[in-house]
Amino acid sequence: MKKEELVSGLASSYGREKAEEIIDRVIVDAGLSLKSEYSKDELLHLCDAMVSGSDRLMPMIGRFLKMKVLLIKE
Amino acid sequence: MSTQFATAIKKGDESFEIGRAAAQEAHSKLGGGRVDLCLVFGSLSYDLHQVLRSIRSVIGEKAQILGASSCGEFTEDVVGEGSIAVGLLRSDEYRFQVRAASGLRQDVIQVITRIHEEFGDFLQLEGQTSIIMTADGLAGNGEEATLGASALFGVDTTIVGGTAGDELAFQETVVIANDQVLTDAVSVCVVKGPHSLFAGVQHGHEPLSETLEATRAEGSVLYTVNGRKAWEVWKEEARERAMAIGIDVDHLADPSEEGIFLIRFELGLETDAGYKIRVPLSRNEDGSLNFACTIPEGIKFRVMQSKKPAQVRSARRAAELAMEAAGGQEIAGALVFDCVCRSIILGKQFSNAVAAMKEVIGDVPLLGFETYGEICMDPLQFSGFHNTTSVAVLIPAA
Repeated sequence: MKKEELVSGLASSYGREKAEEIIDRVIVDAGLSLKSEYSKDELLHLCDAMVSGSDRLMPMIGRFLKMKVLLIKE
Repeated sequence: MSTQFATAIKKGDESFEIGRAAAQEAHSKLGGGRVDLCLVFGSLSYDLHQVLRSIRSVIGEKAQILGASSCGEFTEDVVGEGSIAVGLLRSDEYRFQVRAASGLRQDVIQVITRIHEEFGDFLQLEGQTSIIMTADGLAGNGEEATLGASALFGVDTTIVGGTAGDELAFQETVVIANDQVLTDAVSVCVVKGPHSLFAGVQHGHEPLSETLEATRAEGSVLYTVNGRKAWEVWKEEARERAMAIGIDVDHLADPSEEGIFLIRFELGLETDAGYKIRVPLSRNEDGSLNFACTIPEGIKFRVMQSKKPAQVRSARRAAELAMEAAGGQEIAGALVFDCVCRSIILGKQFSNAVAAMKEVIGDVPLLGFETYGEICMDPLQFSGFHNTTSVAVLIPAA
């Protein structure tokens, strides 16, 4: 999945500007490097980082995204 | 036709009689016989327990029932308020089951998980899965409930619905699940059949203010904007435009008038697909604002506005999007989950919005209610909860 798709998806809850900032922070929190595309395993790490997110919405988005990621075929 | 839908809407003084009259008329239009699903949307001025008892006496014990309290109700024939609207479905191809749970404010995940577990083997039935969902309109976590349902029932599941209203009293809303009337709850109808429900969603708002920042927010409460009390900022940004439409923001008499003002001037988040709208429902004594869903701290947004023609255009567009999703499939009927803001903005012209949808959808039964929030899960976004939109849902005929 492209980083751009993550930002676009999150923008519907956080707005475009904040979504970019959040994705960058979550990527770093998950111990990953900033790049344009992430593998299924990396995305699952990202989802776990989201699930332990600080605001009330992020954990739900993390769980939702994880379900989507699990359906991705390598 | 293997799926039939019929509607009726009634208004009066006696709850039991109104419920029975609405159910009897819809049942008669259906040609009598078995009912598989009953949808009920109605005013809290009625005793909804009595309404359900009377509807049940008409439709029989086996029919599933889903519904919500509302801010207004409409069918293909009548745009009403303070009424009871009923839609009855019978299908040889589709199966329906309704389950609900309460405790939404405390633990949304637990509520959705409990509901999901209660469906058990029903979810294993062959066919596409769609969900019609109603939720407490004042719990403030409609987005979390929608995302939770999507994660548990499947991210490719079509989820539509609306959050309950209470005619702008902002005191208490209820959902209906079979013979229960529940507050602080979610009611879910799983639809299994050869096709998913077809849905379209659209709002008709445009930016009014410059970009602002939510400098302090917690849950669904926005405390400060650009470091100042949210209520003060809202009044300041919308004062001029509000005055032009007859709202004096410095002389709002009660919470209902404040709610009407706030619902007309929403929060808009900039996304790749235009603005996503979040609706403030009420204010608190400390100058903070209560929203219909979570407002993350730090977001950048604009205060939005809408004009009457845009409200009618957006209702039509929602219907067009649903028709495009249907791709020529024959339609048995339509459901509309419509933000209460549309009827506030349009007033007596609200029927024009319903007429616009009917022009697009055609001559089929239509049932709708005015909500505090709309649900339409778009698989391309991580969000399925909307405000100020029309969600048009088409029920396949086969």
